[in-house]
Amino acid sequence: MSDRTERPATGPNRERDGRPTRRTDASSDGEEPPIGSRLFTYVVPFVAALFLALGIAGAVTGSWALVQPAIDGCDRPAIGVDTVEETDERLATSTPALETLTLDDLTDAEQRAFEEALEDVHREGTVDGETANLAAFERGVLVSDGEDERYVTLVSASRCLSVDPLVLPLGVVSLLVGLGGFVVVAFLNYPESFSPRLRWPPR
Amino acid sequence: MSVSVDPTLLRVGLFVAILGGCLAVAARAREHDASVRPDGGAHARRDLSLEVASLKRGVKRWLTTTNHRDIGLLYIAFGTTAALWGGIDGMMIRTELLVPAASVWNEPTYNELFTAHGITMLFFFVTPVFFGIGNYFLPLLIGADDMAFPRLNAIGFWLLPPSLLLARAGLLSEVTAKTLGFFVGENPVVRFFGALSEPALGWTLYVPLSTQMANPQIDLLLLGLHLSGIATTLAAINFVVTVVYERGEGVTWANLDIFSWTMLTTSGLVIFAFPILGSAIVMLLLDRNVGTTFYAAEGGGPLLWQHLFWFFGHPEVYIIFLPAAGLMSLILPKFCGRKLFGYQFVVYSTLAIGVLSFGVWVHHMFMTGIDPRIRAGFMVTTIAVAIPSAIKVFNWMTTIWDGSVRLTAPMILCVSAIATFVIAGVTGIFLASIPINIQYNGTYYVVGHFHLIVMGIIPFMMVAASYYWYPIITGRLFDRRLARFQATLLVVGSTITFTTLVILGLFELPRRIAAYPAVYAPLQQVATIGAYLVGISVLLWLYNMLWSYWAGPPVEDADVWNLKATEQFTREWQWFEARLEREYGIEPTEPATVRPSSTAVPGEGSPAISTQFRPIVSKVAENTLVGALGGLVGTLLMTGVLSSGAVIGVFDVAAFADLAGLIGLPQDPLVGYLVFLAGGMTLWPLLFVTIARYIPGRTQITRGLWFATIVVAGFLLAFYTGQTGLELVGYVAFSILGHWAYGLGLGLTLQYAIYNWDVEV
Repeated sequence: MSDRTERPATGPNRERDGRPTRRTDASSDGEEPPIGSRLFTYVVPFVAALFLALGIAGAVTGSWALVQPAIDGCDRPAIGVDTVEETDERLATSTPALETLTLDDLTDAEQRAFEEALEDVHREGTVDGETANLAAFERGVLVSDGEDERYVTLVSASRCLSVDPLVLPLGVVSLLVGLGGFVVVAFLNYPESFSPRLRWPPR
Repeated sequence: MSVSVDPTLLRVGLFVAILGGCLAVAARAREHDASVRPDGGAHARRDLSLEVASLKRGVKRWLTTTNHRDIGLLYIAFGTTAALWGGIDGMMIRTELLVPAASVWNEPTYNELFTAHGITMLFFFVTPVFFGIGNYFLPLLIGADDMAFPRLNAIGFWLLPPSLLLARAGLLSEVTAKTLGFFVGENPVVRFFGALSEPALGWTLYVPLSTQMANPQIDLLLLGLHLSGIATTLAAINFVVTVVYERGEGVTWANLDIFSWTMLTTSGLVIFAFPILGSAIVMLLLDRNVGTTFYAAEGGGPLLWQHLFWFFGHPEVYIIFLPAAGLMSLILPKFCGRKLFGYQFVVYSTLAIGVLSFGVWVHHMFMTGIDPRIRAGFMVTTIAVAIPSAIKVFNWMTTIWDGSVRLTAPMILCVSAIATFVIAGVTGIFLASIPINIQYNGTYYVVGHFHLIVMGIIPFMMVAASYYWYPIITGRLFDRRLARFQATLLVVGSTITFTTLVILGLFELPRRIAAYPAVYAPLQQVATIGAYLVGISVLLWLYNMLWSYWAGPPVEDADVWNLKATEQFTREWQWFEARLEREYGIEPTEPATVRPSSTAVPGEGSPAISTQFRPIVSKVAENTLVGALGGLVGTLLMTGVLSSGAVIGVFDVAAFADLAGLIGLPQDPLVGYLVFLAGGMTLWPLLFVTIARYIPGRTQITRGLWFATIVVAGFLLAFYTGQTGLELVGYVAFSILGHWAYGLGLGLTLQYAIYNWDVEV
């Protein structure tokens, strides 16, 4: 015996117990789009999203490569300076011999960064100017101010972003194509959202 | 004056832009919502008033509410905000990785980004959202009036915003310092705010790095995490008491819904795991500020932190996974027209995961030099935890089996989540193996693996739940077409991103480092594009939720998903129906036909394996025997072709010896041939009868030929013995011919059995 219970309607939109039939169906789309449902539900928006994603990648990196040096967003390496105690501890436990520089070996900008780091909570300073000892900082170096030695290392190389000049225009075009794709989808799927003059096909 | 623009400003700017966009969507949607009812009236418009009195009323209501549904919505809003914040961090990580050099941001910023991303997502996004869903729906599902302790519920929630602010104060402080510095220049106030910056530790806060870094924000982060732990524990106690003591009439342990079971188990895990984290954090704070030596080399040692952290950390993985599994078990059956298959086993597997989750933490520490015998034990328990997870997967798949599947947005997410969860689980099984773990622990393989879990099922199920219950929460429908696309885009984007990370890991690219060799750039760029697709899909979801809240079509009957037709109109929907009738006079509706979701009738309800046991066993035995016979015929025919190839010198029988050696037998061609024959009679025929119905062709003969053609590639690789030139051409030709002979023999035998022995293949 089948478990299915047929409930024939007793009148228009009425069931046998007088209850109306369903009026809201979240499983359906409501009005179907005018052209190819799947094409405009999945394919076109997906291609548009792909163009949009590619466009974001291109436009962000392309424009950032132009803006970054102009706003001092790069080429300002940061160095970290250990305290004297930490330096002693490091020297006591590490075997490799470390190069030692005096303050005079550092450029003016490096000296300012060194002094900034001594005052800074994070013990970091930014080299804002000429750098001559970047390679030594990258390896890790002892800096002596005549009395104490402190271990100094590179915290950030702060390289400037470099991308192909074509990345920005291609990214912008891709962004526009993606946005255009979404506008087309919105236009075809939701004509009621647009003004009567813009609706297609005209009613 | 030169102006330095820091990524911190960008992070806050993006966040503010998204929130501003949300408000703009809401305002536009409200203007748009002028839908006219068929009776000539208009639907009631939602309030978006900016009047002071109205705002005061709203603020007072939301700050003082103890209603479980209101608190649920607060949790969801909070978690979504945290997700957007952590999501922006994630997008910035992926943007940095577009180029090999650390040049989009810089190395410290990258370190800060992945630390903040992990902490925000794990502590402030996932658990709050699941607790929000639990708060709203668990009492409705179990027939309770409210949570057991409504005030405790409110306290549990309101501890979270300050804990998030404490944890992320570094960013806010940096932005304040930079903004003030821009306007007033360097001064003590600016320096005060500038003293804090986002910690760059990794979300695991490993010592000695976390004890040695001077950044005071680390202390605030620890306090924030501690506070969030207290909040989470309070909420968990509330869930446990609610489920145990507040169940309504007729709700027993035997029919408690799976989501409530998973929330109960998750809450149990929270109660045991979070105090451990709290204790560990207090000790770390003391080490940093008071000079204790809990984690110092001369004290408890740095490994103590790892033990304590992962004793909390691995259960945390299941704390965030189990509610997702519960939502899957609750939502999936509704769109298959079936009751959840194996309810009891899903419950037992949930409890088993809960227990086992506390016994696997050392697999996060295989690289630390722990005694190999201890490691081996944890390898076994880690592999064992896959079993209850697999039970869930098999039950979900069996629920779908032969069901009346409706590919709605929630169902797209459910089905996809099973797939991504399986990939995530399988990659995890490999990581459980100590040698593989040692090889891949420091690589992107791990990142890909765990993101396939934390992205591949957790947010999928959150989004699925948001669509499934949206009508209950808002009284309106969302844009279903947009939802289906959004669900698909989320799945595609996540899969692209995180499977690519697994591949990068297989190429052994180290994780946690901002710069990488240029050879990895194409794959990194693919992963980033996938991540942007995820970002776009999240914004589309947000848009749909907000727009539909104001402008979606109002619900005109409670059975929006046609659940009554399969007798799956569960308690929360019944509550919704009663509310619609009580408040809006909307009469309950009835579907045209009704059938139970659990029945033995084929094609309707859950499959009843127990009643079909004998037919299934006899059919499997019959197929195995006929397949073996077909395989024997096919392999003998193939042997004839390969022998001819051996005679003319294009096929080397030594390859059979290699086959024997491969499985540990003596390297003898005859032994190898017997192995080959056994495989031809068992493995390949069984595979064929299993997938035959999906292979093109009207008869078994045609299908057999197709099948043989498909599998020939494996044979060509496995039996290749260094042939070149014409020998190679001959080897390929004889291999293909040999396989066609095999397919012909197999197909002919099966076709004969179907016609003459009445065998059903």
